Amino acid sequence: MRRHADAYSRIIGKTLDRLIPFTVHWELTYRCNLRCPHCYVIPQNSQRELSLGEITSIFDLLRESGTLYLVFSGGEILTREDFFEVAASARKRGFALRLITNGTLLDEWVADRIRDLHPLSVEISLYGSRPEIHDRITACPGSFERSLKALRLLRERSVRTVLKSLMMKGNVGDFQGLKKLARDTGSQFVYDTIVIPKMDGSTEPCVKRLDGHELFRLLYLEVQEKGDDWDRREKDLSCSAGLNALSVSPHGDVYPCMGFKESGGNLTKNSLSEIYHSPVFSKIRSITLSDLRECRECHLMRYCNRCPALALMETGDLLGPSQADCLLAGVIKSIIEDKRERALMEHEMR
Amino acid sequence: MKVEEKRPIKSPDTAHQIIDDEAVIITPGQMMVHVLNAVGSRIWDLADGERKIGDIARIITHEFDISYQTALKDTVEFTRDLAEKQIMGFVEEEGH
Repeated sequence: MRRHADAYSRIIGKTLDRLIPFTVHWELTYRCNLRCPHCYVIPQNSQRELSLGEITSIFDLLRESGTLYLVFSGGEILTREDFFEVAASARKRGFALRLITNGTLLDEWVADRIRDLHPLSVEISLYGSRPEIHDRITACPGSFERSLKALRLLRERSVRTVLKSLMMKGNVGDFQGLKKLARDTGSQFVYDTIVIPKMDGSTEPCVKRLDGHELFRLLYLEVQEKGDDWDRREKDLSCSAGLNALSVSPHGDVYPCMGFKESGGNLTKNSLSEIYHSPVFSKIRSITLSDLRECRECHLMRYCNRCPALALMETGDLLGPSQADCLLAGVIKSIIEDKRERALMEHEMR
Repeated sequence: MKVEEKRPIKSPDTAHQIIDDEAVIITPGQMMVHVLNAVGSRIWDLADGERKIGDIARIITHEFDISYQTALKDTVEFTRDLAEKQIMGFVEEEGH
């Protein structure tokens, strides 16, 4: 996205300093029509989802509080029968929308309505460039064709699409295929390599994580091409959770981020000010580098994108290291060192 | 129609928010972010399809302590500029 860089940076600075929830990630429902074993979501049938009326009241609150970006995810957002009423209500208030969906419930009628919402982007999860890979992971035969069709229907309507993937055991060999599929469908390609634990703390999905060798092979070209982006000498290990970003559950509970499932309050009962000054939000905001006993001395720090929520989910320690982040940082360091050694060898051979 | 009679309105595809008197406007189609100054942001905020350019200029005159002629000129130029960028439009009046 093109921006007037200085002015926009100044706005972002204000939202960080003054605890303005500029970006809100809203999980509209935990219901989903797919059964991906790696997914962190556990449907909570006993809790009632917020009604359209409750959601629009919260939109008004967020609007007054300075929110610009709303990211809608699930579960699967299109399983909410009133999804388009919710989304239209958000657009009427001027929010910028990003929609995250598996795309399998998207037909021409739905694509037309999404186009009319003018979203910034629609992100569709695909785990393989071929049905036999993707459908095995989603445990839903036919899901690949439906998700692919969704990408095409949206592109035909000039909606900006993102092919979003998670690289893990079972699809790591198809990385180039996914990149090509993104290009072929006119979509941006975005991927992650970290499978996160389930909402109840179960680390069962994490067995699908790539090991060091697989990560090395996967990231080698990426890091070689963008080495300087991965090697950050000025590292503060901070994140925007609980500052200018927050996350809302289908029931109105508010978290500093999607991965940090300790609630600071509920938007049907508490004000944003109460939530921002709750013990949970205050705690995550107060973390400084000196609090990170192990990470602050770590030789991998400049290669690391430490996520406090991931550390908490993996080990129960918000201030400790995250195994997945440590592994990834180590792999990035190895690749960058390998690149330097090769450059040195080439120089000496001349 | 006199220019003061035109009714500016935000384009329906824009997303926007005002932070500390500065409007941040996003045009999803062009993937552009615009940040407006204080006067521009106030004009943006007032462009609801109901108010005429003359009404907006009178409010700007009052709030920013400038002459009506200056406010009108600023409002006309500003709304025309945003209309060229397809960030804003003008309500079609019946019979025109």
